[in-house]
Amino acid sequence: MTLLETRGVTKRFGALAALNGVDVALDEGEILAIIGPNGAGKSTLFNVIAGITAPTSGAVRYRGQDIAGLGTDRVCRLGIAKTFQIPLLFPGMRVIENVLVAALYGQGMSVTAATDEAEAWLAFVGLRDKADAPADTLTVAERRRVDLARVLATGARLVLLDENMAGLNAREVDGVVNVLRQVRERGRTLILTEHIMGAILGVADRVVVLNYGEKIAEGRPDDVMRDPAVISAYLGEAHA
Amino acid sequence: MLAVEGVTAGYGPLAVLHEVSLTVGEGEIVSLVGANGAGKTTLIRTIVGLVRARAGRIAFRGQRIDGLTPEAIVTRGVSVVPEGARVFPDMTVLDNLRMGTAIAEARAREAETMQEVFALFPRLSERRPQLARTLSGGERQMLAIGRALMARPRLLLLDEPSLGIQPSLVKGIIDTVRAINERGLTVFLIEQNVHLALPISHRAYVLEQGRIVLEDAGAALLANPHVRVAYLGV
Repeated sequence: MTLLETRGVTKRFGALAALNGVDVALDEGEILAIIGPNGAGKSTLFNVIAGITAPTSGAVRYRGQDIAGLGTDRVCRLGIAKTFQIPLLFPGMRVIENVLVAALYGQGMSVTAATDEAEAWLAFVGLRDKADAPADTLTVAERRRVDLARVLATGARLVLLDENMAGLNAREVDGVVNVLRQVRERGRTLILTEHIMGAILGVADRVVVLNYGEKIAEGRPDDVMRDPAVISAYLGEAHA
Repeated sequence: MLAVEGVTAGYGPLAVLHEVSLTVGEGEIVSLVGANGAGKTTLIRTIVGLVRARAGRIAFRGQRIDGLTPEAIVTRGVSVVPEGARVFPDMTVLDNLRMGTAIAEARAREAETMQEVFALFPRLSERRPQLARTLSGGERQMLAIGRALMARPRLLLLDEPSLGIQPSLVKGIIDTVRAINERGLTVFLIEQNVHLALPISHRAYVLEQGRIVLEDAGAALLANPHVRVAYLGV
């Protein structure tokens, strides 16, 4: 079943089209990677889906409902939430409270139920022992995990991960890939952007490649990485 | 002329470069290619002192420069053309070029250097009184290069000169880089586009996730299938 669909999404910043007529669809339970060189439009597409940015034109449908331009707060309540490359936690709050806020807001639970939910997701990302630590004492890798726990605690069915593995070492990357597979097993659908191609090859069912705001390729990771259009988007044209 | 040895660097607790080593010899064009996110810009920022190396050393003409301020590094003869051709948008072309002569030695020869820059980029001469914000992308890149040359550097660092430039103008910029090198200036070029960078490079390095994974003559790397693997994983 199609969970999310963008149709002809265009986003202009002045004369520049950051996105130009992008169609993307994904089914429930899928892991989709969106890749592309610098300035391809990956972040803009993410921001449009997450309600941070309204598209100039085109439709964004989630479970059949048009959500374009609704705003992050409403999009989150509908079931879409995003992690950030540089997670902004509430620095003065404990780790568990950071996740609790997400469960309270996203799912409208009672404090008791939300606390259970927050504890469960914190344990899921492997940070149970940091529950009472102030959020600003965490490492970058830990902050990213809290950010993921927060997104999951909102109850989001569609999870957007923006370069969740940047700067991690190979073992940490494997750890994240493993967690993402488990997130899917729990019935969530994932869209990720990532520069670490090994991770994408290891976790994504499908890849969409953007270049200069347009979709230039789509398919299984192994095939897409060998697509001549993708190779020239990354390595350049022979006679530019 | 430039020796980077075992440099590890990043932002806050995040390491972007891992034990990077490379050299640039006098008179060479050396390029560093790699996909986005590999750490190319971070290396330039580390060389010029905007990012502090956490481990390793950087030497310029035999003397250590890691730990020096960017001003001190520029004074020793390293100039940068920043990513995205960042110039001062509300200043005229002429004033942008003058900004390149912040060091005393360069200031003393400002008029002479400016004539050289105008000879290289006649378009800049035509646009002298215009505000930089009114320039096209290609002209801004010329201005950014011209401004860097105003400091009379010994080593020119170029960060993705093709980024955001109309494809038809990119070749011109690359030809200019080669011309500047032929006049004796050493160039360290950072690029994503291997077909632009490698043909004009004497030697080149491939950066993948913060590590140097390949090193060879520019032309040889162009024919090396492992370059694609470094970018796309397969």
